[in-house]
Amino acid sequence: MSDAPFNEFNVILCRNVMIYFNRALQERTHRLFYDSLGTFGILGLGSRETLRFMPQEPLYEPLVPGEKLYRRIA
Amino acid sequence: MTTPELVAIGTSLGGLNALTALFKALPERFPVPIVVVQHRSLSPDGGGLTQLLQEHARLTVVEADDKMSLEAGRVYIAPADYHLLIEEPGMLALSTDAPVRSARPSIDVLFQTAAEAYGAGLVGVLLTGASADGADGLAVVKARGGRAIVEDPATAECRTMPAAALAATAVDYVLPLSKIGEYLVTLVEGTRA
Repeated sequence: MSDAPFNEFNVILCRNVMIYFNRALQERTHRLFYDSLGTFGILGLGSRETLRFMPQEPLYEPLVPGEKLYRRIA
Repeated sequence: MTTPELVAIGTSLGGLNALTALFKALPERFPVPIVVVQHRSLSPDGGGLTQLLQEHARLTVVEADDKMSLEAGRVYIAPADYHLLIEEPGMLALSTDAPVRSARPSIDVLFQTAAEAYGAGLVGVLLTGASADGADGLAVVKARGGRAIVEDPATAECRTMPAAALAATAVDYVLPLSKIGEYLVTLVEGTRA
């Protein structure tokens, strides 16, 4: 979590890991993921995880309705 | 008496009917949040239980997401295959830790974490079910100063779960299912008048 982005990824899948983080660490993780994704890159979360409470929410759009797949759009 | 701030409900076999009956008795503006663990199968139809319960409730029923904020007048249902925890007062969390007593979600996990977060402000309610889940959790609710309500085994579709809790802990109230909703309203609204 202390590392800077080290690549530009097209897809990041991170499922049922961040549920063990508190909200502050989740925010740091989402900042790192955002910085590591290329524009239109895909972020996949676990089925009960959400971007809803994160500052990065407006920077993504849902890729498939009902699934926790998001596309970076900004 | 401490004002209740959270109601946590646990149930297993027969729970759908019991929760339906209970929610019919609760008003739309019930002044505290309600969290629910209902043991359930792993069917891909994840929202089925939530939708069924919503049809009978004036409260808003939602399936819990990780780090969701708790709001008064809403019911939060543990999703299939996740433990539902209270992270801190006002916030939920989920976990995929191993099942407890073969159950995920586990009633004990919900009751214990809710008791740690809310102490005397918690009301734990245990309904019908076919396992002993919830008995340990309800003991923690009592140890932390919260209130414990258990469905009268005589009115339970399956008496095992309420009977196990009654054997393990001196609970505050043993009530027939038909009286529990009404009693929750009295308890929660009465103490804040």
